[in-house]
Amino acid sequence: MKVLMPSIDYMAIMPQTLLGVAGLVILLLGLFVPRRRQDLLAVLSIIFLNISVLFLFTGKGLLGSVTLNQMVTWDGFSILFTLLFVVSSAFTVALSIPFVNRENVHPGEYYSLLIFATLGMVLMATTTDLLILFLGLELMSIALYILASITRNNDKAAEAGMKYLIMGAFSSAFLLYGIAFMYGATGSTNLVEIASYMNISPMGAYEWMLPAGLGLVLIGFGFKVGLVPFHMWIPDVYEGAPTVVTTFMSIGPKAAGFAALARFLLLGPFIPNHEVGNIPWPILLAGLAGLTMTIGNLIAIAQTNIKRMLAYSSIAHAGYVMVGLVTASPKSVSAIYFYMVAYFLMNMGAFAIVYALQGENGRGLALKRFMGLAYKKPGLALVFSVFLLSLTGFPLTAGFMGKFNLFREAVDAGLIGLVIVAVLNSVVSAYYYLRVVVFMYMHDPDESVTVPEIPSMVGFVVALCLVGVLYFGILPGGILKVINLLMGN
Amino acid sequence: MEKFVWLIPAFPLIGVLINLFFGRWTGKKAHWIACLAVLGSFIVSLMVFSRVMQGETLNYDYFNWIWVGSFHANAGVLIDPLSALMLIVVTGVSFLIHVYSIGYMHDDPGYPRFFLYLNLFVFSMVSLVLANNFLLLYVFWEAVGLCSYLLIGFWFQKKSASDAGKKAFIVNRIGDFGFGLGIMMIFVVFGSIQFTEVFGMASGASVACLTAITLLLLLGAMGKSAQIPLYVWLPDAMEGPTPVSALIHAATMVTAGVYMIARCHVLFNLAPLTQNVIIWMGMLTAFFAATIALVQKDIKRVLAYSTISQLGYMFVGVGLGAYTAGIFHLATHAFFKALLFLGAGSVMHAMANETDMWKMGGLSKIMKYTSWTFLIACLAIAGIPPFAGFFSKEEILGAAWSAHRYEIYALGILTALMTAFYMFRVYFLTFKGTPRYNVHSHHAHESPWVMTFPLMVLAVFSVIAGWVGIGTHGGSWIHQFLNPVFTLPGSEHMAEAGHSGSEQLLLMGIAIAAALAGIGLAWQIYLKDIKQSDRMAAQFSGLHKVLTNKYYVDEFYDAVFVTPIKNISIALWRGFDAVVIDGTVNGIGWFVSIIGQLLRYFQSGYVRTYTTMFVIGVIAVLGFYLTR
Repeated sequence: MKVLMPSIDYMAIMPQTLLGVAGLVILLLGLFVPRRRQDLLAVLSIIFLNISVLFLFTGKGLLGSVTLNQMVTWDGFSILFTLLFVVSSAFTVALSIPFVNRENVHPGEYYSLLIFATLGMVLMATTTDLLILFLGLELMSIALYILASITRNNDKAAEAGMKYLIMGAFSSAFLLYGIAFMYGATGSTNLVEIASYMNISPMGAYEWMLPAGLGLVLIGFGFKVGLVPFHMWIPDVYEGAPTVVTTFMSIGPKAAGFAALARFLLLGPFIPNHEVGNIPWPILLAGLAGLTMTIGNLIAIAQTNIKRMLAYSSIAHAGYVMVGLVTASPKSVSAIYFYMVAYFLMNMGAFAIVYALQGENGRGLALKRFMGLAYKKPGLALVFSVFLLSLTGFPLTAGFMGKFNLFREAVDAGLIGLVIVAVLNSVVSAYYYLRVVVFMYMHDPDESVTVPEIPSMVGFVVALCLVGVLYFGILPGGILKVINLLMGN
Repeated sequence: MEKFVWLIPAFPLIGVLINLFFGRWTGKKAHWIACLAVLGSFIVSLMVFSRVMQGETLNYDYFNWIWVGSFHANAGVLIDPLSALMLIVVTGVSFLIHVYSIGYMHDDPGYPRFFLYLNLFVFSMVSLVLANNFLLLYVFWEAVGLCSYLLIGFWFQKKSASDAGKKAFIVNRIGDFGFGLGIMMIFVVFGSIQFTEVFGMASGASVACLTAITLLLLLGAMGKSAQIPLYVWLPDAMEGPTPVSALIHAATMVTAGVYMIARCHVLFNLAPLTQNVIIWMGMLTAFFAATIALVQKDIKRVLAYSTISQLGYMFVGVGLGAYTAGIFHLATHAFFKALLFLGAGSVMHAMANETDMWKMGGLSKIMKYTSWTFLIACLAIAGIPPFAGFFSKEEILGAAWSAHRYEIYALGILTALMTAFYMFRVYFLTFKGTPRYNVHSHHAHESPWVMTFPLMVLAVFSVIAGWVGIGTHGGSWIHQFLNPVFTLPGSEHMAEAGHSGSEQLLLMGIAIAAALAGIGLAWQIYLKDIKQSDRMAAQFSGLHKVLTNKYYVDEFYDAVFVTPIKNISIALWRGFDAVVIDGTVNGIGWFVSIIGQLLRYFQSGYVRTYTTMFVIGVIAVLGFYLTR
């Protein structure tokens, strides 16, 4: 019997392949590299991540190639999101070095899990096939379940991992069920094919099946990005997981969820006819967006633990991003991407500082430990303030430009009401972000609190984030042009 | 040219950054960085200038700054004869004043801060001149305003200085409010904020529209260039250190309004109403400021009103469409007015910061360099040939004449007479006659060379800068140079030029006669018999009082605007803000935090609660459409 190998453009799956190989290599090397040389693995991880980025730009370029039976698609969207995932993972690896050393985490396992999670995210963003998307999502999620409880002797971390696993498995079932419905209605799992099928027969095979499938997939993604009411896991997991893992989770995986959601809404059955099954999808999406940001912000106000506050803040930010998805268009996806970049920089910066200051057993996470920080570490307090202002959406920061772009697209799409809600929410968020600034600058320092030294690697990452936040806030023209170019508007 | 133009703003910006972050170490050596930075800008400006002389121009976008929807703003530069000339004047005068400040400020505790602000100002000013779109122009327009505020209030420990800074800032807000609206309107009407694009489309817009736009832009110019009715901040701005008065409040920043109108001449040419407003505003400002200058005792205040008056002349020029004349006067004025201020500063330096001219006198014997250079500047501003002011003022008055605006011409000549009078009043009172200060307690001395050297350089330019305007019928060098900017394709003739040779000679004669009359009068009153001035003051006591009190304009503004607004604000604060707004805000805050606390209860920590919520969500989402 002759086996026919499908024709595969190996260059086009090089970034994914390389990430997979990298994960395995790091895992194996972890067995042989002695403890005192474990930083080597971090350096190696960063090198691998960087090489996989290089492959995005090599040769004739990946742009436009579709391979592996249409399971991998390289368009501007894929390239931009892959870049974001890989860069944010590299930042996380750099941040992790002091954590791995201090907590005595097995470096081979830890770094390889980070890389596998990254591979999962890249798969999610570079495919139009729902099954590959699911595969990537699970690869990412399983890696994250373990990462959340990587310090397994810590009760909170173990609890976080367990909760995340149960809830994640629960939600995956909905997602998979939704994909099955969509397959049943249209006979395909590929979004491009589903879309073309629906152009011929808008309702699919059974009238109720397609809307039900759409709804369930939406719920599945809604869980991953933390939309209310599927957000309940976020505060517990974010608070319980080691801070550096929380940093990672709040950026890459969230962006991956939005990438998948955007791809789904852009390519799939929603566009161009938003009224699948006579259902006003935008209203549902707008409702979820409004609810998410409002609940996230309101509960954030009541928090006294800074890590938990940032967890709720990340829920609120998911609500803002949803504003861009209500009427998904290539332009609004550009705005979403810019927002994710801005969010990556400011959230990474803020979390990195929290991570550096948390001290033993996370005692340093209480808000009142930040009292008078500006007198002890003026530079650090200033930088932290910049990140907080950016998260609030102050002009001259990336956070402002991100919100501005998102909301402007929404206004152009006629979503005035939702934008008003979003802006009011930004005002509410100013309360809890600026409260930290007030604590740092307007309270007398507590002399009994000693501020730990900032590890140089953390300082480096924070500096890069700061430059990014200010650069994209003051001079966003260049990157916006590149994004728009690659997104094809 | 784009390869090096960016260096012009970059040098002072680097100077700012160095003195900002390393001011602690640069300390008393801060001037090295600041002066070298500005010198670098000046040299690059000269290179640009020589390229422009060969007919090169440049409109180059370095990078996209803000691209959202149809709104595109780039960071770009526009180099043409107009901006090249401005760059030379700004960086050249700035450099000299930087050098002068080394001597003037050497004992000040805020030494590095002073040079930091000066560099920041130069950076903002050259960027303003270089901007190739309205948004960039606006940003740096505000930036120079900020520098002006910071420098007026440089000695912020003094209440009068910090008040003056606030006054300048607030009065400018009124103008800039209009300016901002004008730019928004430009974007709405033309869909662009690029100079070249807007000016290219200008003729397509309606006259009403253009009139509205230009009037709004003019409001900005009124504030920045201290014209009626927004001039009140400039005299108070003299609270700042004297080099600042020379640089910002005489030579450069205050001329930004004139520059802006010249830059937008395409728009202004199409709005005759606005042009008329500019002419009258400029002329009245020139006239009234000159009358106030007649009686002031404070040497810097006289110079401040003189600046307002001269700016009025420039506005008359650009209002008449004689843009070359306006810019020409701007350039010559920058030299001789900077010289006057620096001379005054040199005197103050010698007299332990005394500014009352009645406590000076006879200083020419002690301060040779200062007094000679000051005399040259006085001759220049009075309009005596061959000094610079004569040519540029003559251009403006000639333009008024040939536009058949004889009323403007007459007022202009009258103002010129007053100008000559009050300037020589200053000169005679300060440098001539017998000392009226205590010669034994004051150790008046000539200033060090770092201060006199800039005076001498400026004096040279106060003489020769006007010579570029020699020639008839717009045949002079300055016309040849600037005409490509101001001549619209298709309309070759301009308002200026056009009177015959004999007519021109007659006009010159009148102007010179007026200037000489003013000088003679000053000599009669303040040098020959100084008691006469008291007698005159007594004779016209009513008028004298009005003029000394500056027509009570400050009091009028206080009574009509400031006090009522303050009272209303206080009422709003006590009645509305404290009760209604604060009550609502606190109420909402309380309400929101209660909700936050309540919602927290759902976050029980139990996975069963979470899954229940999840399922409720699923039912809600699916129910949302399954029931439709």
